[in-house]
Amino acid sequence: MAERALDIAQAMPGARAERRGEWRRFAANPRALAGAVVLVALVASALLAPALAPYDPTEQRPGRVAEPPSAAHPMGTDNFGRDVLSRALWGGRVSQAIGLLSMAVSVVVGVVVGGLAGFYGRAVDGALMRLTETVVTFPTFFLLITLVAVFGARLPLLILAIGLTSWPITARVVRAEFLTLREREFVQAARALGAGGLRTMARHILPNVVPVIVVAATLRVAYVILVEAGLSYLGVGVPPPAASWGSMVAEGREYLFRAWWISFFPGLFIFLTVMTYNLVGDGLRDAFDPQRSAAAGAPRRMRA
Amino acid sequence: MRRYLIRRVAQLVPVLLGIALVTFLIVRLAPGDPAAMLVDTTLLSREELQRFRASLGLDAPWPVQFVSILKQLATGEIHSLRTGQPVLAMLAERLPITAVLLGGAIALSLLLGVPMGVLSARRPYSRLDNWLSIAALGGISLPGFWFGLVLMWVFAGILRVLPASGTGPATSLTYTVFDMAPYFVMPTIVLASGLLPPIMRYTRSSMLEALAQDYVRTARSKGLSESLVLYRHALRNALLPVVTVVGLLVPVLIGSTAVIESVFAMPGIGRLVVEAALNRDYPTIMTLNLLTAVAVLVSTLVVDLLYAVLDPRIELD
Amino acid sequence: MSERARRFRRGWPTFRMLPRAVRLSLMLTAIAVVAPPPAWPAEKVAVVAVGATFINLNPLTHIVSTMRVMNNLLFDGLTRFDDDTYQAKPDLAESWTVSKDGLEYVFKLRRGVVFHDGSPLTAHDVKWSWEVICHKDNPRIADVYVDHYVQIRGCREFHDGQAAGVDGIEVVDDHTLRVRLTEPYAPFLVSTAVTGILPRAKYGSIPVKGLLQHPLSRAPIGTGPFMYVDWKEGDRLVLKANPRYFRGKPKLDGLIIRFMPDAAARLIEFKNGTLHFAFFSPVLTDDFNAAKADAKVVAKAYTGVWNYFAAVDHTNPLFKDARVRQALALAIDRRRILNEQWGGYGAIANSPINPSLPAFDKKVAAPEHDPAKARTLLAEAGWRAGSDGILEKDGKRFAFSIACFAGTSRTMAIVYQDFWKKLGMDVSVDTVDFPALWGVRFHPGKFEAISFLWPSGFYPDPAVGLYPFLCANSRTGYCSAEMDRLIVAGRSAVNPQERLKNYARFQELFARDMPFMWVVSPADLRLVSPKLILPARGNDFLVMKAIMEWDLKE
Repeated sequence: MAERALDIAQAMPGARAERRGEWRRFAANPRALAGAVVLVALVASALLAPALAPYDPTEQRPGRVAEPPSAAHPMGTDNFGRDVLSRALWGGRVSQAIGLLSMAVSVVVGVVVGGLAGFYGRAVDGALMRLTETVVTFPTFFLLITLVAVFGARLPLLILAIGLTSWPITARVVRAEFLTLREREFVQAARALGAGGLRTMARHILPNVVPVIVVAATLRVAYVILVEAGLSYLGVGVPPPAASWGSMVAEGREYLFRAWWISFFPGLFIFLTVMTYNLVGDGLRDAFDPQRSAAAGAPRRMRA
Repeated sequence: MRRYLIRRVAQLVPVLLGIALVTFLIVRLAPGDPAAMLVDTTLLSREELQRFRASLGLDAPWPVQFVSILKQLATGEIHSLRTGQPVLAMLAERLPITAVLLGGAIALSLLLGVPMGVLSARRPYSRLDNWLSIAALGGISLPGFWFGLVLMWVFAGILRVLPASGTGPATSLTYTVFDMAPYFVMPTIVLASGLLPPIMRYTRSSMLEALAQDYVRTARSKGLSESLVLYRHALRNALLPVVTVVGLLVPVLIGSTAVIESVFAMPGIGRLVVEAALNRDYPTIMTLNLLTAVAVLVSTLVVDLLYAVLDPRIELD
Repeated sequence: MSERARRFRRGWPTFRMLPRAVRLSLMLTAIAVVAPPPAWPAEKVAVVAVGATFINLNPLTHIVSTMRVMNNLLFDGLTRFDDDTYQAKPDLAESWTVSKDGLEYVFKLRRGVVFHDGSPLTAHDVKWSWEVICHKDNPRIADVYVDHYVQIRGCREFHDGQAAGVDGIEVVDDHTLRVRLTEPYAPFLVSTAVTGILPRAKYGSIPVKGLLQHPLSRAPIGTGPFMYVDWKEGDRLVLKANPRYFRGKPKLDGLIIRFMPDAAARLIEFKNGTLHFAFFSPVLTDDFNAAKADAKVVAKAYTGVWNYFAAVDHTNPLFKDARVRQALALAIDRRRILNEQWGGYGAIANSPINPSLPAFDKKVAAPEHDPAKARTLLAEAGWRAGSDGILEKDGKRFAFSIACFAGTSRTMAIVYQDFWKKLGMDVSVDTVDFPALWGVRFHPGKFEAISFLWPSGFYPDPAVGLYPFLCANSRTGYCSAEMDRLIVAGRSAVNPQERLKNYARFQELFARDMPFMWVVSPADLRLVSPKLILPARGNDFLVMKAIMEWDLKE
């Protein structure tokens, strides 16, 4: 019940007309712009890792074990003599790919569940919201640990599992949007003209919901990258030899007081990536609905 | 009210059964024989292995195993597969540590987050507000394990003012609560770093809304001092959504304890979950997952009730 | 306007603007944090760290490596193993006689020995304890039963449920025990008779099936030099000295065993003076070298307990050819691994028998690092580089994975991967958790290559660690009748010279056939607090055994 209040709060009422000028607003927001620039740089560095990385990330160089940052190795070397910068760049490919794929799973499920619930209401809404509540109450991180530790870490399993445990927030937001839009005039008009349920949803409501989904998706990537990093740190994430940032931090743990760079830099990459996704997501949210940003989305008191 | 309560509690049951079923299936479907972890199966003859697995209840068909696990859970007579210890006893031993961590993090986040949110609301879009909101964004973007390691490196490795890990000093056969305090500082800060930003943001937004309300303008026009207006009137009403946020973030917070307790080597519930998963200790895994879900469901219920009690405008279904 | 409101209006946060309750709580927290911990108490309590938890404190239901240490602290057996002479010395039994044919032992128990709860030790307790190991409902200790107890007459029948007790163990009177064997078993005194004894009065009524779960298995009663006080699982085990110990009270008043898997944290605690010793807890070579120059901590290198090895599945067509296996062994640069991963501390491993035992054959050498010869051997076996640089033969690529578990096993797997990749093989690393690896994967047909370690240094007698090299127990699919014969002969020969000869030939055969490819036996680097007076011993396990000689400087 209290969650429903927050749902409405997170919704962004506003038909297309009010959204004009959103890109201009985004560009005018210095934080969002800075975030977008850094994010593009990080994503590019992940895509271009094979070209950018100065060394082979798996090459163990004898005699250069655990060396501090230097001109030859700007981020030092790890306990096998591997260049940390190269590993971090290649690790970005793994972490970001998993992030985007898990987000895709999460968003698809969230949109379907939220859309159906918001549009059809009543029984369907009740049942789907019950399902959502169950997933939210799940100690999902614990469940993920159990799942991966027990089944063995395999990339498809990991991506699916993370995606399937993080969709509730997207679902709620989408549902709230559908609920409000359903009552709008143009929707009523369409239905009066005889458009069927699914058609109405797809043609009329969905395009207006896209901004909400984009914002939710961006913010979800941030969350999902953190979850994957946490799992990898605990040793139940990405299986070797594919190293993600989280497992690199875990590997450097033992050497924390002697060779801090092994853990520090991969972790820094995680922080920067997540932060920029959050900045961009927030910026998009403010850009798409300036009214809301002024009121800062305070939850309204609602009848349960 | 009573009917609402009964209905809510009744709704708990299918949810819990669902969780129990899912965790049970996950562990049973997994590759790797839990028996193999406890004993070198190559040494046992076939009958011996059968007998061993039977003694652990591993040979019965799955529905039977599930029912027997449920019975064990209901009576509390459930034992860890690895150590033989009753799981509830293990939980009782470890619960205080996690409880202190969670309580400390929530308290710290509220104590600092609410005032910071109020400050931001007082001067929205000022430089202070801007920096605070960037800091808030940074807070939720921090990977907890990395932040913990960095703090450990600085405060335990370089400055040497705090202990690196553990829950208490080993200088004698017993130690007091005060001895344990330094060990909880860094873990609590790391845990709070994920909770403080949302609290701050929600306080800010609901304060902004509260401040725009009529009664605030009335109070101001009556000549009341600014801080009185802020703290007595606006904040009281603005706090409700903040309570909701805390309630909603509890599951995430509990999940974070797994990572943080591992980083700081604290034997709490979060660490127990990781260890149990790695050891295929399925009775422990199931009990922990279920009890965590119960804790979350109860806290949600409490939050809802609080909401209803504090705001007479809300009606419960 | 008040000063406070003015400052508030300007928007600057100050401590005084926070509500009183908040200020108070922050101040109290600050005090609690900064306040120094209490000083050391007057009693002598040594603090020891261990990297892996002990699962249970019952010597009759659980033996993991850390448990062996606990055995010596809390319990005693009839005999104890003397690490200098490799013979059995009296413990709870003050003397014994052995018949000429080696089939009958008569033990005379010490008088006046009491358990931690004050009850006296009698031969009934010994008989009951040994029967628990023979019991069918006690499969966790299967390896002990199979190796050391099945030779006791009547044990097998009792195990199979055909008898109500073990008739080979006879209580002659309260302090005399007669034991009959079915065949002569040389290690009987050093392996069988060392098991910790529990009081039948307290444990006897518990069904063997429920022993593991019983609270007494976690708060045990034994006869040992230290008594149980408290155990917080995953945190610390607190023991105090047994004032009634039959050898006299230990010099220490108490012992705290802390579970600390994190090397960095242990190092900090050593430097702070809050940790005295850490067993089974590796120290990074950099930290070790730095410690040598540090006055606050003492660095000690012990002979390693663990032998690292790589193994391949002998039933896999890739590895059937002995030349291929030899090539794999030649490709590994053992010297470099020892230097890079362990700072040069330790020895290159070449035998399943630990270097500290007399049965260890120094003459058997490990293969030299010779990648050129390895490539020649592979070519001879028909493997040629394909278009992608990977070796292939008859259209099949030389691709396989190395199974390992997290930790040093994985570190080594990554190292082996690198060496073998340079031969032109496509190697990947597959990390699984330990139960899956040991229980499921490490069997013929279930893995390709594996990176693992063998605790050869735990066993006082070489016979104990050799069971997996028997055909019946083979993990790698390697089976040799000759090796079986040598192992059994070594075990059952009563004449020590005879045993040594068998073991020497066994080790020669092992080096030739390589069921396991030994790599290194790194030294166990340990740190010790200068305040702790430690007896000089060969490895940390033995140091812990000599707990009676430990002392703390004031």
